[in-house]
Amino acid sequence: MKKFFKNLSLKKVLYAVLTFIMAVCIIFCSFATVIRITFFNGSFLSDTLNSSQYYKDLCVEITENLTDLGDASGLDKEFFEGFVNEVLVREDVQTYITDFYEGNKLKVNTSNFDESLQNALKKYIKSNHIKSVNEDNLNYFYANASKIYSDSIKIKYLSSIQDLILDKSGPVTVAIIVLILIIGAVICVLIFTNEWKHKALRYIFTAVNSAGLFLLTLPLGVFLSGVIGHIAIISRSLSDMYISIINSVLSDLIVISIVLIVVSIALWVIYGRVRKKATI
Amino acid sequence: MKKTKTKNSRALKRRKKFFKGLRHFLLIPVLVCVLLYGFIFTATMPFMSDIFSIGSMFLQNEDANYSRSYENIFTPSDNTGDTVNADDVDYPSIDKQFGTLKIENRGVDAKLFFGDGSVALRNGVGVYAGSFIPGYGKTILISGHNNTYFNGLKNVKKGDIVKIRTSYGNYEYRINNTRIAKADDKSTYDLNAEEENLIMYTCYPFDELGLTEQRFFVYGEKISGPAIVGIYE
Repeated sequence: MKKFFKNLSLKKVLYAVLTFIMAVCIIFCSFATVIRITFFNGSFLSDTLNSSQYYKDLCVEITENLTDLGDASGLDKEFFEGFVNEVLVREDVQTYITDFYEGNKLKVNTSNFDESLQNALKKYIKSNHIKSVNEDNLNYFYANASKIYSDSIKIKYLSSIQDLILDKSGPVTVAIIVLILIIGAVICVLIFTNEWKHKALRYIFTAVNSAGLFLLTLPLGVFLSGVIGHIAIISRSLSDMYISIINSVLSDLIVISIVLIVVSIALWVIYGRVRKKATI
Repeated sequence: MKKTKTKNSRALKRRKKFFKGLRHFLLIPVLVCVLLYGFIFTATMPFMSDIFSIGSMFLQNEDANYSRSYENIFTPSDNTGDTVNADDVDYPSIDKQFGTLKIENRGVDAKLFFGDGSVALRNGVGVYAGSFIPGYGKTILISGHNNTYFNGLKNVKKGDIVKIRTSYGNYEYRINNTRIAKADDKSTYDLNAEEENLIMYTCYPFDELGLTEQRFFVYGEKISGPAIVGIYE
């Protein structure tokens, strides 16, 4: 211990602090990059929905909710079987996402759904020979069915973060650039102020490797804790969607961590060679 | 002798080198990683507590279950006494079937659920969660769809007997009144009533296509069934 403090110079402490700062910057830069390519990226959400069971589950849920409404409205249980069109649902959800990222007002256009529902009900009335129909009751039913559809198309909780996503998109990009510049500056300081270049490489290795370990252990910890399986939001489709997003984010962090660890191993190999040269 | 000494010192040197390398390659990065956790956790503590509390709202202890099946806690009871201890009552939670409701010869025979959400109304009739279960000595407000399980309410007459069976006792109520009112008419029920009374309601008119704005109310007074005692002890 005594020997350790004897060998500890101000320069070494400064390099240790710089290494630590560099590791912190790499971690925040990685987080910012993952956020930039996921939450702030419109196509990420579309791709996640397309690759998950979202649309299938959503159609089932809309059908179930409409069937419940049909139960209360005197319709046969079979009335809504196969009624919900997955293609239409996909289009409407896609429009909703586009509006979200373009900063438009988040509103679901239910005109296609309304039209097909009215046509189906007219057909039903005709085929069941129903003579007396109260228009007010039917309109009340249409309004409720339309609300069920539009509420299902809207991606819950997304509307509440629209402003945040739109406002912070620019600052996140700036933050990534600033963090990269800081990391670059720290690397320059370590290399150019160090008499022995291999020692600079060791500091850079330590920063990159520890940041890599941090970014690897964090998502692995989340995965292993099983907390993702306990996420419960209103519906299956919504839960699946949010779980897919979280899995994507964590997977991206793991990929970045692996890249960092590989880079750090390469740095260690270079460090070994440079050190050998320096000692010869 | 000299050869062995040189061999030993070389091995010692190699071991030293190995441990030095291990320290730089593994121990220091792991130590820095632990420090990073401490630093980032401390630095983000003010936001993290908010994030954790928001996150906990979306987490539950068990795996999420979106099955449309429901839990049935109803087992027929043979309790013929006048009272039942509150400790012996398995108080139902939302969407659980805890009994049955029947009006003889009127076409009403349904499973009784706690809560009047879609699970209850899809499979039977439901007690409004803001009212009380039978035996509490207060208002029991039950709803059902007019085209399914409560369609038979259109046939009820004053004096008809409503039989409710639960796991803790069997109850009977005599119908003493019916009424048609607007859905938002608050005068149709009194949830603060001090005597046990049954109110069943459904949409009106019956067998109508679409959603109606009127409701058909059926009122009943308690005739028999065990009172739950020791509720507030």
